[in-house]
Amino acid sequence: MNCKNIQLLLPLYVGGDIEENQSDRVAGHLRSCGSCSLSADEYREAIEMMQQFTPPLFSEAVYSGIRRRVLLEIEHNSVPVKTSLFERFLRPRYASAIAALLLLVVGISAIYFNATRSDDASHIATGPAANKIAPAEQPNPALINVPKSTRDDVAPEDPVRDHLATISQKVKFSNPAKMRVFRSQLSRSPVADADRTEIAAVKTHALANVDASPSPQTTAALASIEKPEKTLRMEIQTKDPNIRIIWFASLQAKQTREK
Amino acid sequence: MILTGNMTLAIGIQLQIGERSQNQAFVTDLVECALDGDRAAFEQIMIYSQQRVLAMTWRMLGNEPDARDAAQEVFLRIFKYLKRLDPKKDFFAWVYSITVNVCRDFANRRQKHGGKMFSLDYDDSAFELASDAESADENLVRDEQRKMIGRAIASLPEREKAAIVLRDFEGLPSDEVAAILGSSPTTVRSQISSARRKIKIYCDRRTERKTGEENR
Repeated sequence: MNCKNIQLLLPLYVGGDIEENQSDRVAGHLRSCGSCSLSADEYREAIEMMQQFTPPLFSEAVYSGIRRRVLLEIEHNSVPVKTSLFERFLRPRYASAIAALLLLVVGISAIYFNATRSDDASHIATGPAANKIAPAEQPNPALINVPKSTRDDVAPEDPVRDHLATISQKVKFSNPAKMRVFRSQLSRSPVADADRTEIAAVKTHALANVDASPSPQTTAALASIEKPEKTLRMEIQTKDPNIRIIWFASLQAKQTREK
Repeated sequence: MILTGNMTLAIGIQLQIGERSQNQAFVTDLVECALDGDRAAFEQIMIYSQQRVLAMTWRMLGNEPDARDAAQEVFLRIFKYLKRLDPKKDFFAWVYSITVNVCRDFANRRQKHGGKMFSLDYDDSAFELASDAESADENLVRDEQRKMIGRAIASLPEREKAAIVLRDFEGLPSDEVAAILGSSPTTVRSQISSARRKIKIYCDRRTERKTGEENR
């Protein structure tokens, strides 16, 4: 080892911070090198001076003052701060929980509303009995083929429907324990359905012979057929789901009776 | 019975180890009580460690007001992180690591506020109390040396300062210093070596300047 390497190791050597084999080599060099030995002595003096760098003797008052302040601070921090209920809800974790809950409620309400709205729309409100109306049936295939002009007959202002509602109520109130109004609607009789099929056939024939003028027989047939007879149809669902009472009545006969 | 040098050393080490394990058990009991909410137990912990903490903060910060504030902060952090103390590890090593961090924070705060890195407002009256028995000349020389060493330490970078204070003033082995500072032993030895060299150079220059002034 040369002096340069020894000079690098000297600060650690004097403090005993190098390994034993290195320490032996440095000690061997110092025995033979005057300048390095002098340098080592200077380091020792510096370390001795550092040992004298003792802190002042702090009085007990200083220590007790520190302890008192620390304990006061701990006590101050450990006392829970009283907060109002509203302030608690304003805390971020509570606020986010409430927001999530509100979102959930709104979502569920929207789904429920969407699911129940279609059912409600299929019902015809029939006064106080409307609340007890059962879920809608499949649409009557007879109604699907009804021309638009005749479908308009099922308008809410229709007096026939009002009359039907009255009947439904009567039926319901006459024997409420055994049966309830399942559904009431204005419809066509099976006879009228057959007529509609015939109308469709005649119309198809007329379209096929568009150039030809319609024969007087065809015109007469159309005139007689396109005046469908209005009927009342009322279905009453008993408590037994397998038994349903369907009642048809001629509206013209009723009107005649009323007159 | 004649004791050889090696036997005396071995007995001394055994006594030290025994004393250390006893102290560790004592501290562990106090920590358990303090964790259960016993304020008196925590006060005992403070009494047990206050001298070392205040001495360390004074050496690191260089003046008593800052040292007291830092010591207070150290104890508050000890209380806050008492749950994290591993009972298998040395209590004072943990306390020293907290103290070093607090002093580093204080130094950074001081630097941010435009102050000096290391103010040397040593309280001379405190030294006089400490050295009442000494003669006036010796007292003067010691005081000069303290100030010189203090300034030399103040000129060191923070990491070197922490390493040299723990190694040369608190007397911890370099491996323990490395563990406290969270560095490798090689790095810490390099920091210690650099710090000692700088302190020696500082002291040499000061002594030479003083001798030159006296010769004039």
